[in-house]
Amino acid sequence: MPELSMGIVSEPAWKKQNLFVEVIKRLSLNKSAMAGMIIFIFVLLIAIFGDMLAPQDYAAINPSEANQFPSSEHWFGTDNMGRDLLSRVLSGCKWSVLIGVGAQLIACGGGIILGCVSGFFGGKTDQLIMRLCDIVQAIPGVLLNITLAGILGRGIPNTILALGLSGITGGTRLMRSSIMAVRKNEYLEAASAINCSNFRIITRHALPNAFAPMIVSFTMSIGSGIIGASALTYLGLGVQAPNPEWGALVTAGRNYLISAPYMTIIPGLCIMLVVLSLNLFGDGLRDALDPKLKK
Amino acid sequence: MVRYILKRLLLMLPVILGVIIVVFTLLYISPGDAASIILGTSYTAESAARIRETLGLNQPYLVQLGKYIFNLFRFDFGDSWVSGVSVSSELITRLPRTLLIGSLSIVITAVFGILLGVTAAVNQNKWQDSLCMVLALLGTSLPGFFFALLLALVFAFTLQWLPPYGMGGPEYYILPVVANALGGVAMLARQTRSSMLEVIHSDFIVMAKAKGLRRRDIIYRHMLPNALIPVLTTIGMQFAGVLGGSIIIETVFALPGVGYYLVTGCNNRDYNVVMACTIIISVAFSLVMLLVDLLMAMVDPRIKIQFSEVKHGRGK
Repeated sequence: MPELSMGIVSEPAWKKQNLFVEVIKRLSLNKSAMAGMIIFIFVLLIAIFGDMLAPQDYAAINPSEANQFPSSEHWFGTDNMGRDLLSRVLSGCKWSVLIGVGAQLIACGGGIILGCVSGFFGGKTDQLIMRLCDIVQAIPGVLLNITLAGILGRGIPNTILALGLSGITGGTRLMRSSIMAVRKNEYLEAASAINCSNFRIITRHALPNAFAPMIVSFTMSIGSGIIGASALTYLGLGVQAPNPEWGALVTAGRNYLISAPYMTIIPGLCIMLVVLSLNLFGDGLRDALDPKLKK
Repeated sequence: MVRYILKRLLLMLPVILGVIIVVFTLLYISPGDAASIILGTSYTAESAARIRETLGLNQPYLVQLGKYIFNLFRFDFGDSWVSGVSVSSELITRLPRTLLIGSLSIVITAVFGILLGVTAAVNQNKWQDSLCMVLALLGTSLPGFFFALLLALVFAFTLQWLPPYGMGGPEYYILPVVANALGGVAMLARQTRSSMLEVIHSDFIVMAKAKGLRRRDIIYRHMLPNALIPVLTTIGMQFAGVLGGSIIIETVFALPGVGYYLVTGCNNRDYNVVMACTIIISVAFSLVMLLVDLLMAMVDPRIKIQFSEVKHGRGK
């Protein structure tokens, strides 16, 4: 028995690695995808080391230096309480990224579980899950975000939860369709013929072969998660004021739109840059994973 | 066709009922006490108990749900907990504004999205293509409310051409509609470009060129109609974005529509308002999606045939 199971396990692992190398190769030829990846890695580094890089404490109030335009001393200027905007942007980065990634982990996690169950078992389970999805998707995405955030309340964990929960239906549909596409393949029949449990068939055989669209969707959705979080914060339903999350910085700046427009524009452009990098990278990833290109 | 419309309408009912049940249940289990919100500072245990009694909040879940759905048939959403005003009377004045913003945004989305996409596709790999696609990419990456703030900064505060917020004549709608259309224009331009590129190398286009047709005729009478079906689907999906986006945009421009009402309701934990707004926007969205599907069935005969096959079978 050991040789047999070894053979089965190592086969997809070998294939997967080959595909992985292939995808990396294709990605590296795509200039805009590489640019997107480099920007996003840069953003991730800022998210990790932002607090150390910040020239000042992001919460240090200094009324004598309030509302200064960007200068050599304060690269991004100062806000209405004299806090250094560069430090606030650097420290806020981790919150924005955390919310975007966290929300998508919930959305994709839930989507993978429900989508696998729905796509693999079919029948009544599938019907039930899909009808529930129909109902939830009759509520426009932003509206669902807002309603959930309104119910769950403010704060970072609740914002992540609200954004994540409303993303589950999309993930479910995506996962279901890609599971259904691999379901008729013979290796699944072979797996069930050698008495693999359903759980093992799904996790070891169906899922790895149906995972590519999910990776693309995950990458692209982090950006929309960041935008969604900042919008919730703008509406007063997301992150609370002292936190320097980028949406909160834009929100804080709107009251000084005329006297200190940089307070709104700089954090807003930061959000745009992150989302842009993820969109570029996601577009490239989708092309690289496209099975039509496989030779 | 009538049969198809009826069938779609019947299929819509359980979905709307489901939305009502889901939203009601979510708000039912969430924390938030109606009595304490209505009473505010004059809260006492007795008056709170009295209010719960009159609102029927002591009754079992199913009875409350049943009553709520029954009242919906009379377009009665109850009263706002905070202001005490009837929610349905507020909705009647606010809904037309939101629908106006939504429909104008979708028109702008369709016109500019298709124009940008077509321009990019027919000039593939030239500077026009790059320009359109860079604009589209920036458009999808820009948060809607941030773009709205930028518009307000430039056109309302700096140039002072348009009012920055509030309600009034048609000029109050220009900035919200433009801000709301941005994301859709960007998405649609990308979709139009890629589906135009699929037909651009077809034999019938070569044929049309060989016949010596004018370039404009080739683009708008031969290419575009054949590339239109995925584009129409995208426009349909944009309704969700536009209706959802209008919630945020209305708040940015303090435009008293359903979305602004919803956000105020959320911030005040005024659940009657939240529930009513969510339901009314979802119903509007479902109706619009139905219209889009009917339009699709008219444009694409393949969809209609799927439904008329049953009829033929019975006829024979």
